[in-house]
Amino acid sequence: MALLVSGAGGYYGRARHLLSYTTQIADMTSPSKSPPSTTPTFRKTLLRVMAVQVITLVMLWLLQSHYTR
Amino acid sequence: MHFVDWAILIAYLAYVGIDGIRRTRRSSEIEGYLLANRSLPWWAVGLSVMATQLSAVTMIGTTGQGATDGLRFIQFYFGLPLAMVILGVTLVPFLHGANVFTAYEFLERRFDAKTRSLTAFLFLILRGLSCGTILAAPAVVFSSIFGWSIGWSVAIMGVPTVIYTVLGGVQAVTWADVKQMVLVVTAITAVIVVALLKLPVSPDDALRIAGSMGRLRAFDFKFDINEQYTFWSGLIGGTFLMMAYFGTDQSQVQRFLTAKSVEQARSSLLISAYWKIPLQAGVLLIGVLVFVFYLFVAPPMLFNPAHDRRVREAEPAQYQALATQYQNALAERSTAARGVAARDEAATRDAFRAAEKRVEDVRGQALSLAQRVTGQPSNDVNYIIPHFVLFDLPIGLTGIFIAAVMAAAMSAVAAELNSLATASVIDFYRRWVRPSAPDAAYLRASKIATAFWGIFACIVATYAVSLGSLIVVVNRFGSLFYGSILGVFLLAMIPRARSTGAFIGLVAGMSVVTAVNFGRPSVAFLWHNVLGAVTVVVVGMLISAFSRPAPRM
Repeated sequence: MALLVSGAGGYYGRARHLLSYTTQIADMTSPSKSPPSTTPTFRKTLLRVMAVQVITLVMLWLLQSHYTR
Repeated sequence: MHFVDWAILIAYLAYVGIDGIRRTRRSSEIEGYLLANRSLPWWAVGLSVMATQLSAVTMIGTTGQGATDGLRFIQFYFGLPLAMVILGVTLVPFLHGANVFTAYEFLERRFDAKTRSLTAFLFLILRGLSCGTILAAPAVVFSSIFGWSIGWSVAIMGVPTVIYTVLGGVQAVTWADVKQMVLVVTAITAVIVVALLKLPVSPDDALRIAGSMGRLRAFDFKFDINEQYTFWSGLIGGTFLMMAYFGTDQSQVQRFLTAKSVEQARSSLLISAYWKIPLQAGVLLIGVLVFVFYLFVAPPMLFNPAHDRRVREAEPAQYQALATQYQNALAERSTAARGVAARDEAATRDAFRAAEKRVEDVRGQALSLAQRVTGQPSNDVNYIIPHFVLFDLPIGLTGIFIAAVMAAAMSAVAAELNSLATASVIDFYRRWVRPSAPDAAYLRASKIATAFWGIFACIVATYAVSLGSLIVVVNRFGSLFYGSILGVFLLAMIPRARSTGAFIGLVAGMSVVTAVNFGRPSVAFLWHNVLGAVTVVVVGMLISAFSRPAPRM
């Protein structure tokens, strides 16, 4: 597959690409290169997002249950 | 339309054009043109993400759907906040950290070139078509207002958008999105306020009347995979659809790839998680209020003015007979609605429902007649809000709302043209045709590709109007392969998955969704995403279990 990438790249181009290809596979699935963990700010924002959704859904539910007969 | 409304519209168009051209200065190399050198603040990216999703289809199709079907459609978005949270901790860090131009580029690094090319090709087809339907929505408004052909209306909208997208690249697209989003929210809020003020009954009575016709039913807990919008299809199918759309569709991925950091990219998505459901509720509420408004102010029998004119000319006697029946039915319905407002009890509600059914029966006959005379589906739902905007909003607000419809269309189309050009150049031109060309060649190719996709979208838009309710058309296009593409990205995060498994899984997922789309078996379209993603992951893992790992150096 990787050899298809660098049609004009010659041997070094191909080897370099193959090397970067394997490194990037590791980036994607290796536990040691896992995505940055969530920060306290992000977790706080998540809680706010969920709170806003719950409030919105409760309001919609109240609207439906109060007026729909 | 009043000259003040014209002035607002022209001023808006001029401002967007000039601002777009001003942004060309920072787009002289490919990274700047396609990714703004990854330098944009989270709030601008977040508003751009929202603006890209909120198109003129939302402003016309969804509001119309609110008038005919009530708040039920809101369930479609129930999975969005959850999807954003999941994406924030999974795909966003991977994609942003990989320094890629497109999401599909990433798939080649993980799997192989054919998986990348197939997903990129699907994106080009899917987005190219949906871009056309998005452009068609404001064209409906223009053809309704000015009596121009759909072709001319599409050109009036499409040409300025293509020009500023070609010249300014992603910088122009994002900053235009920010301003357009502000305009859209202002217009939605103003129309809700004005609609409430114009009603001859109190807001409480209006809601009671709407509620008695089921227009305020936002939750349907029935578990039925053939039902389009239920709580479960929205929550489960919607989560898969939103994850696929925001996490793997280049038109959205490209938005957050322009953010300064992973943290800022995550935060930009959370803006949608915060505001999408309340905003969408506001959009649907406009439709509900318009429905109540037309209980007291006589609406036309056919909202589509072109069809109305043709039926009137072709079948004058039949039209007149129906019009007389319609006027009588409207008068009865208006009296019945006032009855519900005065005394909300079972008898008045039943009388109101019976009167509404008589109106709908006559309208149904008129729509059938229009379809027979014109040979086209009437799609009257798309003309309800344009009629209200033109004839029932005060001077100034008409111009603002039409500018907002244009803004919504332009922001969505511009972002899509930008991303279509990116995928065309990065995933095909640079990948297969000229892998090591100078930066200037890719920049030139990106501009040509943007113009090409703009013309393609205009042609599709000209024919999309007769395909059915616009919102359903776009979402149907979207749901066909989104789930399968999401499945490939999910596989990419499983270490044991192999490239052969990913490719065969993708083909299997698409085959299953295509079969289901043609009714074998019949499943509502939101579930297509779940089916597609699950099929890809299951088939992909099974094939991977019997495949040899890719050679590593």
